[in-house]
Amino acid sequence: MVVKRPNEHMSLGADAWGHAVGEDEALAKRFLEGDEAAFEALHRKYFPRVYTVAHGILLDREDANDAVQEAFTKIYENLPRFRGGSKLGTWIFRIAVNSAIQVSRRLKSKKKWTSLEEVGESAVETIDLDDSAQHVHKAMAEMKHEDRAILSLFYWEELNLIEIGEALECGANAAKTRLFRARSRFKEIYEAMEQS
Amino acid sequence: MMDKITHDIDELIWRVAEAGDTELTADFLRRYPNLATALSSRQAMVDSMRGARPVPPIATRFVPSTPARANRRPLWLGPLAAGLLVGLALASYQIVKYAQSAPKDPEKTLVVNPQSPTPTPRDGRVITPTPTPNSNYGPGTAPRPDETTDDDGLVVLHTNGTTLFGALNAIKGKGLRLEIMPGVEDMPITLTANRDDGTIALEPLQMLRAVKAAAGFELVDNGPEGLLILPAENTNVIGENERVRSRNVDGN
Repeated sequence: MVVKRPNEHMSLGADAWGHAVGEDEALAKRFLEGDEAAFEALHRKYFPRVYTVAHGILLDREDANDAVQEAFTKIYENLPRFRGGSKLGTWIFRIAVNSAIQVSRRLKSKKKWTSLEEVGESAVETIDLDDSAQHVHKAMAEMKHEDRAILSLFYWEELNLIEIGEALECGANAAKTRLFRARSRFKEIYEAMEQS
Repeated sequence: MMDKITHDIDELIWRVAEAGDTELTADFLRRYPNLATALSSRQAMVDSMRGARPVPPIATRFVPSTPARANRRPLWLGPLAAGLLVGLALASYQIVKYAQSAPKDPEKTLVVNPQSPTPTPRDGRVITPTPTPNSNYGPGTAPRPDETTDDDGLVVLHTNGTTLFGALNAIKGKGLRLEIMPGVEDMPITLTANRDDGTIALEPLQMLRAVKAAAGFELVDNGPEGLLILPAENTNVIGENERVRSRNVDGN
């Protein structure tokens, strides 16, 4: 039995969402030549995806917006140093993950100083989510942010293991192992919540 | 039931559930009919997971700046920085305090080799030592540099032809901390020999007392800074030369 993920053996010319890979590099080149509109186009294209990953890690809209802003600022500042070792898209995801994790760590230390009255009943923002999605987000909230990052990239952004490896700065095999562990932990928590 | 599922089969269930392929699912169920429930619940879980994808807001125009929330420094950074500054200040204070209290190196004395030739400038002129205005010495009669040499930690001076500053330098050369204050003038002094070769050899402090008796200056203990040599306010103690001069003035 041969099982293939839809995006696992995709042609080299397109990413999971079907965008031409060369399109990103062309936008980056135009931006580096001084065309600010080219960066705006990159921002428009990647904003929803960067936001999704950031939200998956932080599980809060406002924090995710902060992380997205930080990520795009880093992308804007560091694009001249992008050497093309990976696809521009996975480089953007790497920055998105790192920014979200940094925001998460910052919030963690900040919350140590926050009074109990300021903290709501649950740290997970579940507004606008249906029951099933709330269930998933609550289960994810019980996980480490590294695990949440890999689940977001895999299930929501549909990156393949090679792309996840590049985004998380590890190899594809390590990404596979980490994904399996994250899925197992998620399943354990999710099922435990279903039973309770 | 899940306890019996091996790692490989569990991985396969994930892959089938994620693939969402009906043919693949049917194939799996033909091979593992006992895992139908496990596959079904896994598919539901995967569907829930995918359905929980957050809905991103509409992208606004990007302005490259760090948001205020993100820019805010952590609360612990202020006290930490203050602590570091206080630590740095204390460390600096301790270092300065230690440096001030540490004993200074004994002052180095200039060692003059009497055998060395007279320094000659590049133009070939020969320099003849010129006596200072207050000195009673003529050319070539400066104190002999070998008057400070001895082997037993004693200061050895020639009883004749020794000057005050030469004697004080010889004493300083033995480790006694002396500072000659302004107003003290160099002069020839006469000391009483205590050795057969016409020299006087004494411990540095004893020698200082002998020189003081001969030259007449004030000696002030300045603690760790050593001893200060001050000009005598009252000329109760007059040097031998001064006595001679006084007698001459009085006509005696």
